[in-house]
Amino acid sequence: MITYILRSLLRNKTRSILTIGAVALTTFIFCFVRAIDSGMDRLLSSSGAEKKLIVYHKNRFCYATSKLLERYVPRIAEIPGVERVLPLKVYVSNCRASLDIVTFEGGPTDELLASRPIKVVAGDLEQWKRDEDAALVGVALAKRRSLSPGVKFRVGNVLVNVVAIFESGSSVDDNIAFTHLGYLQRIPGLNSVGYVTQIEVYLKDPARSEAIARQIDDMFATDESPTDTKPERAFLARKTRDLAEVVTFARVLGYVCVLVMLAILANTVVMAVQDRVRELAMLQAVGYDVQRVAAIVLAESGLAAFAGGLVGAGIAALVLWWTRLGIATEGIQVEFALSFGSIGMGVVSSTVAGAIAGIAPAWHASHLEIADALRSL
Amino acid sequence: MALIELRGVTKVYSKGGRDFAPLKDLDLDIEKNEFVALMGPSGSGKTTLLNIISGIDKPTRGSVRVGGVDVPSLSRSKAAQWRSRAIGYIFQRYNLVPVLTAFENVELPLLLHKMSGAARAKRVTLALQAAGISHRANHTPTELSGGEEQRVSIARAIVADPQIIVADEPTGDLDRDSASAVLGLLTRLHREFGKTLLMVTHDAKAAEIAQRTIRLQKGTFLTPEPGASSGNGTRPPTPSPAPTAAGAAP
Ligand SMILES: Nc1ncnc2c1ncn2[C@@H]1O[C@H](COP(=O)(O)OP(=O)(O)OP(=O)(O)O)[C@@H](O)[C@H]1O
Ligand SMILES: [Mg+2]
Repeated sequence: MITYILRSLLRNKTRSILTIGAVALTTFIFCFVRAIDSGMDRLLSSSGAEKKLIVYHKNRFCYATSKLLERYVPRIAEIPGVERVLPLKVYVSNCRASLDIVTFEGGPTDELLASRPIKVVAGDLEQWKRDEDAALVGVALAKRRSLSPGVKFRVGNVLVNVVAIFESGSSVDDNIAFTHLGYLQRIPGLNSVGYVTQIEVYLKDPARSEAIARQIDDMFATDESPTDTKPERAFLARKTRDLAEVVTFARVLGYVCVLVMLAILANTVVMAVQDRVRELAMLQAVGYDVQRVAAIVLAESGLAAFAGGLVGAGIAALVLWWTRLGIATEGIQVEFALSFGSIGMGVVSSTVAGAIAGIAPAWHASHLEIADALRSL
Repeated sequence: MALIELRGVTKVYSKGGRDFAPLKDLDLDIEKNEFVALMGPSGSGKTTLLNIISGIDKPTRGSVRVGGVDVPSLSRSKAAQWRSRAIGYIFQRYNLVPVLTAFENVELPLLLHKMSGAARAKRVTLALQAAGISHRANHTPTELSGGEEQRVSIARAIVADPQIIVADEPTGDLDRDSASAVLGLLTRLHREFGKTLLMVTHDAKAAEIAQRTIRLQKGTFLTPEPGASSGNGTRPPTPSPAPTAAGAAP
């Protein structure tokens, strides 16, 4: 029986390949959308809970425009309940949503290392601490831009010397190049000496995060650059809000694709059945009953869809894992995260879609007028 | 009681509001182990009659009993299951699955029966041998001649060891040599394996190998039925047949 089903699929090779290709493409899109989706989820859930506040310029949403006075830093550090403060100058190659963005974060080296759990995988960390123009580059960014220790790397006015590559386990950090704070502040054209982009505030007690955030904002409300302080998760959610809408849209498109595929697949199966009504009638003449004939048609369409699903999910996995593709908005890198769960779901849903697409043709095949079908040419 | 027993069988098609009856009030008895040829002009309802006997089609009126089974009362699936055990169907145009080998084609009806793979392979081999086509077991239909294809189709009809074989113009598409080989094979099925055969044919020569010929015309039998047979095709009954269990039977 399986022989028969497999051979039937192979009988019209062009059609089978096109069908499998269509399913593969849809599954690819499906997996891609799921990957963006879970990338967003991961970004917003991975951020260190409420133990970390981010101080930003009030009503500014882009790194280029957020300018906080560096002298705020010691004042925030004095607030009771604050454990550590990390001022950061952030420079991004592109503030809009983009697939290829480079983010530089400049900070005091020791505080930076204390705040980011990173592991150096290549190069020399000591050299990074020493050299003013040295950059410590995340693996994802290094891979995307083919960077390795010893390479000079220029984005806009920023020219750095890559001295080490690190791995952090965070998709955001893995896409960042860390530099010295002073070096970034002095980049010509940035006019940033004495200013930082944002200040990370690490708390002793997460329960007090709201109170401390309010305290900071009150402190600078009438100052030169009023602040807006949020827990990191809320900050990221705010920054990726536009992207989230795009993702919702992509999700709808993805599901529409699945519906379209369903229709295409159903059409193909109908054709495959019509092409061999006489054979299906013969099977019934030699004793195949309704269930068996229906099962054959369902199995054929389910199997084609399964094959397509495997191919599509496989390609999606290869592409996403190989390129570590991500999308960035306002300097926040959302790395597409394709989990085994999503892959499995892609394959399972395409197989189920295949079976659903086969229902009508299967009913048709198993209820055809045997006598008339045998007479047909 | 006859193995196949038709009483008052009528088939009516409604075409564009007008009724058309290819079969009118037919009575027919075919005994176990008989070999009957069915002749008649095109459109006289021969295929329809075969289909009604094998439960593929239902009569508009009348009763059909085959081996004691009230065939028209069976549901579609029940009829299929009954057919898989009771009837072997041979088609004019073979109806082999083009993507399967001869062996796999013959195996198809056996997949419906519970048995081990080895037992199944053995029965397929025996059926191919009985049909004289075992040397072509691994060829696909496109690699076979018409006569060879029909042999494969005959092997497929006998592989599940049904008591009754119906054949719809089995030699209609074959040249003379292939046709006589196929007819010889059908005779063997009748004589050696004790099958009951009902064969539709246009060829009076082919009908001669049967014990009895019945003729359909305009929906009725030309010769009274049951009882006397038509002159031309009548031959004395063959010597007492071997039991069903021989040869292709397990
Ligand atoms: N589904 C149908 N609807 C209407 N008429 C039908 C249908 N099926 C068969 N017929 C008609 O019934 C008649 C008998 O058909 P059947 O196929 O039994 O004839 P036949 O004796 O086998 O002819 P042939 O020798 O050409 O095979 C034909 O006139 C055919 O056109
Ligand atoms: Mg006919």
